[in-house]
Amino acid sequence: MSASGSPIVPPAVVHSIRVIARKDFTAAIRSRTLFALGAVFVLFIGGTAGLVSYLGEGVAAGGLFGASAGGLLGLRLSYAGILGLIVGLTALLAAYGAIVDERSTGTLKLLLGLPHPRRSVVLGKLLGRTTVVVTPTLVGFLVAAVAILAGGGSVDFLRFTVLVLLTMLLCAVFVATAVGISAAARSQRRATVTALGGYVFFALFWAPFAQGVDQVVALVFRELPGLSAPSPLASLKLSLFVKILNPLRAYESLAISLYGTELQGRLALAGFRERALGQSLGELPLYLGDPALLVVLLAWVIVPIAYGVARFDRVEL
Amino acid sequence: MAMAAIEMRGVAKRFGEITALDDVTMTVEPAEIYGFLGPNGAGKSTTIDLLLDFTRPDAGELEVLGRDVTQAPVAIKHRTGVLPEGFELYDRLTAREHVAFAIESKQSDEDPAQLLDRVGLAADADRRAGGFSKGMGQRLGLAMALVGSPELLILDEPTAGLDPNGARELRSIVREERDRGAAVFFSSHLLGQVEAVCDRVGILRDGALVAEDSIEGLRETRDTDTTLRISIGAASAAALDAVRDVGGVSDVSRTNGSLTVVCRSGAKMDVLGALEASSIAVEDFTTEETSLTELFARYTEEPA
Repeated sequence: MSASGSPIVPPAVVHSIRVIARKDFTAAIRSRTLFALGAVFVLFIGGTAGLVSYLGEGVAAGGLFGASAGGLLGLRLSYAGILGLIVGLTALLAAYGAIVDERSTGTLKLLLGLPHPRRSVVLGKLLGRTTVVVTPTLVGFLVAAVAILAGGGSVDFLRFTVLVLLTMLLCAVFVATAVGISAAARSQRRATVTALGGYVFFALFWAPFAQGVDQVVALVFRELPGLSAPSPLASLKLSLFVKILNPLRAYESLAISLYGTELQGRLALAGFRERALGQSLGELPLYLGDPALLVVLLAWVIVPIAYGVARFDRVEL
Repeated sequence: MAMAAIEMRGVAKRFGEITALDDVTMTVEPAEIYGFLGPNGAGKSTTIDLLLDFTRPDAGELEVLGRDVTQAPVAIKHRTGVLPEGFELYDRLTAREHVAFAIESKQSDEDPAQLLDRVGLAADADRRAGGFSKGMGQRLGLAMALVGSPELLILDEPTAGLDPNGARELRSIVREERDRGAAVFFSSHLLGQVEAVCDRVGILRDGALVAEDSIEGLRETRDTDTTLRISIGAASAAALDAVRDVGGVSDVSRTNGSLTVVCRSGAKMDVLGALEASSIAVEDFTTEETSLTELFARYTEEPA
């Protein structure tokens, strides 16, 4: 998974990445904080599945994981949306200190005194911390599947597996972003502020931001000579496109379309008024299809890591 | 002669306005212990950071084991053992795991237990490093540096945190490594530590290499500067005369009740003997070790 960010990697670098990842994993799983984060995680996925199947007497897994906004106990958020928020925060907290902490304590001197290329440190941390976050995720999903089956429900294993893989990808997205920040940050403080500030922005302020983008574009089109205001449908497409650039929303939308249709997945991101309009979208354009959302998530792994590698490669320690 | 372990030519490094290193040229040969001596802030750590590619030079060339540092830092580190200054251990990993990590990193095949035994940590192999003292940390760092029988050992303030016994053990390991054929770059601000183990010294002051000398040369310079303070009943002119002509004495001065004698350390007993021969009673005496500052002064005033 880690090597996905770099081009053809020489065997010596692969060895180095593996050694660093293993060391990092061993040290990280002995941390109590991380263990607590893991427990929260297992309790959330396993617990909600247990609760829903207890209350609902035999639900299908899709009834829980594919529940869209309004579908889950009338809440505004979808289940996948909440899950994404928790996974994202856990991954971020587990990884934003990965490199900057070593730099400020002085363990990095020990690490780089050994024959490790700088980029192996960044990629090794990505692999190590992703494993740290993915492990409790897998346990959580396992508990959830058992709870649903024990409650007399059903689990579509193909879809369930895809959902698990998708969630692992989301873990990698947030670990990659956090490690990228950690590699580029000069101080622990700056890494903390950037990571948490970024999270709050994507979790809370992306929708207003997306709306702002739409309005600016609409304004430009109205005012420029020779152009006319975009149609409501074109506006909706643009608005949805900006929304799926947010990895949290891309994950949520993909999870919902996994248990429904692509259109349901995308419209889960829209407001109530836009949803009615969205029914007339018909065929989704390429940039709003499931593959496009996957590309967005992959880009969220590759771009921050490439940035981190580039910065960390040149920095004077 | 085989290729040099370290070769620096005209190396300069600036941090903004501050010149950390200025035109440093230096060679460390294989199988020698090279003492890199200088007060804190002289540029020793900057030099080591450059040798490890932690920072890059503004001018000059650095070669380690025949390879350019900026071109092949990883290949160099495969053949080098490093004990950095001011490093930290991984709190949650045991001593054995630290050494195993270094072994895996260097793709070597040693037994961690043997290395830990060599640095005196055999009994603490399975303890987490979080509870280690500074001295134990230094020992563990040394064990990691020794992994893979490196051709060059870079030790930055290696005696920091070690008790006298630990420092002696360190010196004997350093000599063993030299005898095996490894070059040892031993950086320290402590004259005594460098003097006790090194074959040759380079002295760094304000970013410039002010002198390079054999350890014998260093001793001579240092000995000339030994200062002896002698309390006598009455510091008469006779006492001054008695001491002035003793071989090895370079300066005598008198303050009421005591003499201050600058001489080679080998001449200390001769000075006291001369006073006794002149029937001058010695009440007490102290010797002052040459400070590093005084030593630098000598090296810069009278080029070796």
